Amino acid sequence: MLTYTTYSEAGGVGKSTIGAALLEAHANHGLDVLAIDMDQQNGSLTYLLDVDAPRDDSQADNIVRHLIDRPKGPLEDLIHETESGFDLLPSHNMLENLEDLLNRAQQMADDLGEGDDFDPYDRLRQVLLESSIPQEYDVIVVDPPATAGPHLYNAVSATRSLVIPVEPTGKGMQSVLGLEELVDGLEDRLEAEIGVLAAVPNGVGRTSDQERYLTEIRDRGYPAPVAIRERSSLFEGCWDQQCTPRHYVEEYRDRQRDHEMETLEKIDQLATEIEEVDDR
Amino acid sequence: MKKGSGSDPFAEVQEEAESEPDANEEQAVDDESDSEPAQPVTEDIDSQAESETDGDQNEETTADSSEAVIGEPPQNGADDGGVPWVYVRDTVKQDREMVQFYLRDYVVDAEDDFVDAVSDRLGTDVSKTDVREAAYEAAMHNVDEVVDRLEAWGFESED
Repeated sequence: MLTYTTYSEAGGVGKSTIGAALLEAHANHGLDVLAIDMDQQNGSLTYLLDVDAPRDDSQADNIVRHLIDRPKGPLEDLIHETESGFDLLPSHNMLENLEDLLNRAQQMADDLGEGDDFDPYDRLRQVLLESSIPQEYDVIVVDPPATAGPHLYNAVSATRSLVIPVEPTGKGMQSVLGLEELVDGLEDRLEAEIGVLAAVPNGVGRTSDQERYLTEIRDRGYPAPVAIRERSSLFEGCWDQQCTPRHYVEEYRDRQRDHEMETLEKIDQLATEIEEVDDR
Repeated sequence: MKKGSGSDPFAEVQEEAESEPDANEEQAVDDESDSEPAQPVTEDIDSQAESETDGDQNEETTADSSEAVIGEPPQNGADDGGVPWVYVRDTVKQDREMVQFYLRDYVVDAEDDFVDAVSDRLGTDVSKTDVREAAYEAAMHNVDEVVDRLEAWGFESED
């Protein structure tokens, strides 16, 4: 069972786009793949993959209702198939108030004397455990928003491994350090070991720079199989057409561009490495 | 943070699938054991309102000839000047490690009543987590009782 969270401290580094490409690569490798979208913003997997879910209807069952123990049906019923060969548990606007809702659910549990069994940072793992979902998939990937908070904590607790797109700047490299502090705190809090499957410098200009960043990340002890070059045209095209990078190249490019094919191959290689690093 | 994958978040599921085909209600909560019957609870944890130290064995239970397999609870908190642990700690989970227990329904069903019974005797509400640990600790002071129970389940000695 491969489980990981795609997280980067800075938004806008193509996290969801790379995430979608990775998900598609895992699926193309013959694995049963589920993506869980915990990002309430419009730049989320649910939008990118053009999944039509009732995201603004709070009466409809959605992931948050399960997290706060007020579900309206089985969690499995929320899962949609995407056109890219993997399944998606979509985002919902209620995620915007997740922190507040979890606090209230905790309060409710306390009042009922069940507070010991309610861990607001471990809810996603709990609801997955109570469902049949872990047995039905080979890969589960959670995509939280690019901020520290209950979405991220629940994602990390449920997956315990990370894939980190890194902005190739001093600030981006620093954010890896910030992440270490965050993860150390989470490890203590969740009493679980959290691993980094890969760090992915993304948006690198020159080849010489790629090597430098990869070396720097590897020197910190993290696997860094590939660096992705700046691909704004490809990634923006994905958002315009609401599809994965591979789909975009195959459907919307009049000809294959070598550098874009190279990016797709790198993402495929990254997916393979992640599958192999996963030693569980 | 380590290189590679972290621990398996769904370890319970796989174990469950391998071992117990019938029990598919995974309890991923910190299940400390209980399964003590309704009998006087040998509470010796330092969680009484009056700070009484090491009051263990204040009940005659079954002939408990066994060597103590468990020592005194650790001193908790640097400022532990005789202040009971429940007043020193901030949360019920502090200093505690999460342990998985697999319990049959009849035990799980009895838990709430058990917690209530203990709370009644103490005269104050106790959390399930505290009761579980106290129950497990009490059991460690009553090896004979535990053995009787296992024998009743059908465990037999081989010699």
